[in-house]
Amino acid sequence: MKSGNEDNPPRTITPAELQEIVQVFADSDLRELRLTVGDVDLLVSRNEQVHVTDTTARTPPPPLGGASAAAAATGVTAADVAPPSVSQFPSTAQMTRPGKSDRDGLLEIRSPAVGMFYGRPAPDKPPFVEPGTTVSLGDPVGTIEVMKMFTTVTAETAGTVVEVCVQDATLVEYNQVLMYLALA
Amino acid sequence: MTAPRAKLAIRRVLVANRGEVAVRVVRACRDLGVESVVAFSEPDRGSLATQLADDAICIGPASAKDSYLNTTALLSAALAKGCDAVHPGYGFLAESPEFVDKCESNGLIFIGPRAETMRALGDKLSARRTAAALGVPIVPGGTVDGELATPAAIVEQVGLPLLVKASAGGGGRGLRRVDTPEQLPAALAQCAAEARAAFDDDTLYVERYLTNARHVEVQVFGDQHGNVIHLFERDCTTQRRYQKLLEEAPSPALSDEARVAVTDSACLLARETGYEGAGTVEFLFDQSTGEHFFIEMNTRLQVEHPVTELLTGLDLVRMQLQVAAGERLPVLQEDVTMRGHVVEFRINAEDARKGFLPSAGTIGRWRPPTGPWVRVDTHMEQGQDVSPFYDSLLAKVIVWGATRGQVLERSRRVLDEFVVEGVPTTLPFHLWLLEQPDFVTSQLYTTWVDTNWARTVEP
Repeated sequence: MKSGNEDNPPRTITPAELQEIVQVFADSDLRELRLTVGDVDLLVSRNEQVHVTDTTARTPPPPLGGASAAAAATGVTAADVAPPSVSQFPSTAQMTRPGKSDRDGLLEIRSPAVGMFYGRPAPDKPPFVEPGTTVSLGDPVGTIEVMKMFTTVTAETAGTVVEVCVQDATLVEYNQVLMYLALA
Repeated sequence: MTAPRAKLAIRRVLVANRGEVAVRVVRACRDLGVESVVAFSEPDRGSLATQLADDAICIGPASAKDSYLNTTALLSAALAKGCDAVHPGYGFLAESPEFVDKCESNGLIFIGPRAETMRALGDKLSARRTAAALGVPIVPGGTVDGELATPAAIVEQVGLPLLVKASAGGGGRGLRRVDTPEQLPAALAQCAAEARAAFDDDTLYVERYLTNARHVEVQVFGDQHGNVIHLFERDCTTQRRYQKLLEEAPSPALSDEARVAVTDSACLLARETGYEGAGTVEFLFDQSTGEHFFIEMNTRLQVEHPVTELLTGLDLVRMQLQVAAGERLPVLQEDVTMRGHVVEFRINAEDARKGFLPSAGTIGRWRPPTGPWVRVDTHMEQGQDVSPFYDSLLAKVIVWGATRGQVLERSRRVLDEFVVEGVPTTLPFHLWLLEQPDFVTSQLYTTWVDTNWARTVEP
């Protein structure tokens, strides 16, 4: 990728570049990638951490933005702070995922087991829930298949689905967040 | 053995364990170019093994029953992650033939012996029968009937001193020690009366009582082509209430003849049962008579396997992977040699002064010993929590020397360097042990620690 040149002195990473970096990382076998461009020190890791820090720290970092969103789309989550230049320009991925701060007050629904998550009762059926679906206590929101045994995941409270974090038919860990609910 | 080798038939291993052994298995996989996936429980998130492995997956909550003993979660994780083999480590499911069966029915290679072998050898009583049938010496004894119906026959066949106990009893109930032939008839009568009263069954069991015994175990290895070798013995006499604290090799108590006898017994048992993989045959060695008696077989990798690795220069976990993949043992018996002396100290999060009470907490300062002649196998790091959910082993410190004396000399330096803050450890016990004349000269027996440490902390 291209970093700033002499006509363009403040060397940083543009949102588009960041997205590209994360995509390249996601498609690679790398476990961790550290990149320093000007004042930006970027660490992308599969250990569920992404740090993007502005080493000049002239201004307090804003809440999580594009960096986390782009990273989250590739299966890693963002943990730290992003430089203003990145966070102010949300990536496409961010549009579908709220940042960490946006999740305050939301209720997590977590996986009860390691297994395959299915968001639909059958492949040709509509999903149990989507962002915006209103659920009541005990409503099914997904199923987990463990060695051909299916367990229904239910809403532990009434509320509205804000975000489904896991794609249909993907492996989930024990205790992995499947979705977020806003309490009714 | 360092020449470029063909790829192993195993490509990706699920590590179904935690702690230092998970780290050990990940490392062996890495050396062989095999991928590792660590299955971990919620409190083990971020553990060293998960950091070093190629991949990691959370399989359940803290409770071992729901995570490390949860066969469904483990198999599900292994299959979903595309593993072709499972390494059970030690403890947890390492000696479960049911788990072996389940792995196999799901097309996964279990890195360990076959289920059938495990069933024959894993259970103490059936193992004793198997050994006796092969002519491997077992602690003389038996039920008081038939050939052992009379006191004279018992003294003749079992020997003295002996223990009389109720067959139905357990935990030392109705146990009597007999030192002379004259004491035996009365002991049998009293024991029978007590057994009848307590269990409504006056069947008695007699067994030789070994007063001066050492715990000596032989490391064996078998492959799928019928080869069985031994990697000499380890002496685990320094134990407390049957919990090993320190292991060393070679055993200071074995003569060359005794070593041949005990390793022959171990190989006979392993060969005749078609043993595959790493196993340990445990014996009591009677220092008064020079006899050895089979106790049981551990059908898995042992905690103390590094002792043998440093003694022989062989990588036991690598060999486990190789034979599980169907390869031949990489060495012949005549190529296995021992060099020098090795001692392993188990550093547990236990307060030795309070009856070895296990403790939990957060590791403050952590400075493991480094430098020449020491190997430290650990999963701990500064700032890590010592979880109350699992065993208290923090680290194994293994020291090599040309002689036992040199090992002890180096061990004082090595253990002095080890700083652990945040939880009590067994380090003070080991430092005390190194100063004991009985330990220095190895005048030990299996209850030596119980007798002497108690005297030290509670004078």
